[in-house]
Amino acid sequence: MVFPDLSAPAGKPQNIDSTAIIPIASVADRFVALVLDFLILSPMISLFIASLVRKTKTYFLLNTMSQEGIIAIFLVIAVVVFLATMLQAFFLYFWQATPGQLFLQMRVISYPHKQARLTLNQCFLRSFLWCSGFVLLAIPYLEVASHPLRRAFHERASDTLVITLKRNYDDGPLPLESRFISSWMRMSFLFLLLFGVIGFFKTYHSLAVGVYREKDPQAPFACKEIQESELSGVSRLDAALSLFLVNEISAECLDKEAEASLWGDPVNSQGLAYLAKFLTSESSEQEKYFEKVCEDGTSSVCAMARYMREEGALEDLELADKQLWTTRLLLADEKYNSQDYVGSLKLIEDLQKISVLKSALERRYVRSVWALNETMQIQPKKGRVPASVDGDSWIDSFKEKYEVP
Amino acid sequence: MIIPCPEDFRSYLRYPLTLTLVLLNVFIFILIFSGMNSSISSSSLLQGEGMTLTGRLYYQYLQGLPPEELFEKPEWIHQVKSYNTEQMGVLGAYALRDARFMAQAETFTYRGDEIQISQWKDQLVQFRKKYQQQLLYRFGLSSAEKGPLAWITYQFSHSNWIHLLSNLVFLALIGMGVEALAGSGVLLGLYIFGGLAGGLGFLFSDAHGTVPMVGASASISALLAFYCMAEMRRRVRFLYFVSPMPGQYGAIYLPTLLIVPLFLVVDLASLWSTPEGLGGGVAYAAHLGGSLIGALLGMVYRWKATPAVTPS
Repeated sequence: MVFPDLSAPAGKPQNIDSTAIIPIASVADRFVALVLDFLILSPMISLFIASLVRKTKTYFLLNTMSQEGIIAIFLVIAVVVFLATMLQAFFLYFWQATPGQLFLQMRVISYPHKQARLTLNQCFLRSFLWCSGFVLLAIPYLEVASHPLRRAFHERASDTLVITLKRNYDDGPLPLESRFISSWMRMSFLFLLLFGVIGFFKTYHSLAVGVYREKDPQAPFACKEIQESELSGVSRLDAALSLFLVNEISAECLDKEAEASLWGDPVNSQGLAYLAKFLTSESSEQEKYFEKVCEDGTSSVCAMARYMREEGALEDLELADKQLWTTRLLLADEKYNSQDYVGSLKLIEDLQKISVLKSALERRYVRSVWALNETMQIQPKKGRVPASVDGDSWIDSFKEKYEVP
Repeated sequence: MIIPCPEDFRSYLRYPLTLTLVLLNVFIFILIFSGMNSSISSSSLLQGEGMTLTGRLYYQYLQGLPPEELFEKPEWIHQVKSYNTEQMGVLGAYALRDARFMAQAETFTYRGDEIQISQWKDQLVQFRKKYQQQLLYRFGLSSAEKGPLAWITYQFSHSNWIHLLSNLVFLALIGMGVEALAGSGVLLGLYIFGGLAGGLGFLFSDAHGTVPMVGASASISALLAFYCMAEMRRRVRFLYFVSPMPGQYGAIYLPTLLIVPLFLVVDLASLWSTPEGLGGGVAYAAHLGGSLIGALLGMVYRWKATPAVTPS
């Protein structure tokens, strides 16, 4: 069996009398028919898929990256292609033309093999390939303007031709026009290929770097800057406050944590959440949050807020809950400021046992050891001074830790 | 773009009522927007964070609703998660359209950031006051209690220039067709009753909405459906425009029935494909209400106009 060369211009059809004139439909008529087809068929198809579209919209309404939504889009496309193919094939089989072609006095005939009517296969093949042309951004339809018989790929593949019933018919494109459109079409395909290749590699790169990786569904509201996902409730907010105070997380991150706490878990960590809001809010609102934190003036969180607001009144800090990491961090800073470096180091070492704070407090640790070392160099050991003995051990352990000779 | 244009719109003096209706719509539009300085759109309630906050509070309001009332809410609302801020924003947008919530939202007790909640309550009261002072709200039709005049005034009010122009083009073209066919009285009756039916359709689909409906589109749908039914077997002129290139714009004679897929089916499909409670700003149900009454009256007109055949 020999397959016909679909790409060859069918200038001389085999079964059609070469002397007969073929009343080819004009490009303008075909374009208007296409628009009419779209206007008539698209509402019908929209009606069929309305419920599916509604479902798809709902998926994306609730989640812009919804996997269900993506699947629903594919289903919508599949149904649209199916319905468009069926409707077009139905009209072609019974009327030898689509509705738009009927209005513009056009018919689809079998060509070059003459037949009284189009076969069902021809109708379906033509319709399906017509739909497939949209995958290539409708570039194949440009052939209607360049082919001598105005036959695009879907027409040559299905052995069909569009003719007009009007007295004035088309003579086909001029050779120069035909060459121009063909070159333009080739160029369009090349650009499409180029964009396709770029798109492929870009997508592949995004895939490799994890852009499409599934997000942690457990805590979608929490700040991503806090790596420890096992923390929750009071301890998570306490960690966030400590990290914010050592400049490891942004104010926005702390605000997110506070919001999550206030709106999701209002019972356990409300006080700390208001304290976080006090630290992150603008000056106009800060006073309101301070008042909120200090509704109970004797509370531990209020003591902390007072300490932060009045920039260090030690008696306030002494009233704060020592179990909180934030309190201990503030105490460590307070001891450092009062040159009790050993006391500061003890607290920092204690805090560094908490994995989320370990690396964040490293600078505080080095700072305190450095200051301790400086002090010891200025004030050499005289007799029995317990603090200095402690200092020595701290410096030794520092040297050991950082392999200092 | 393709629109039916049965009559020659250059001889506009033959269609006095169509012209009057067009001018009336323009006059009311100018009246509504003359010197209007709306601060509603800049309200923090309508910004991202405000919407999220409203959504969070509305979520708590929903949790307190009895099951039968909660069941009335759109299906997607039941899938919303309180920790998802994006979803809370969407819920907030819906909350601002819920008349029952908006009417007394500041009286409910909420848990959460009390400072934000207190500010939100103040903003809500201000927002509601300004919203209700808007002329567009007073002229529009919504589920809120308003005088019966709103059923008429909404038919002549429009929300912006594009809304007005698109409606007036259709009103002028199809209004002339109806006026030439059935006379000015029928046109006026269709416009008013089509609008009333559109209002019913709108309230039926959005029984507890705060957003008022404005526009002549329900009346125009009634005119389209009427013309389609009354002149079912005729071919009429349609104007089409694809591009300004020669051959891609002009007039084409097509069956009147083409109006059904072109406009009426589109409305139905759009109505069915819009997630409940979050319309895209077009009251499709009102269009359908208008179309229904227009089609019915068109059939009556056709039946009356058909000459009785008597045997000679």
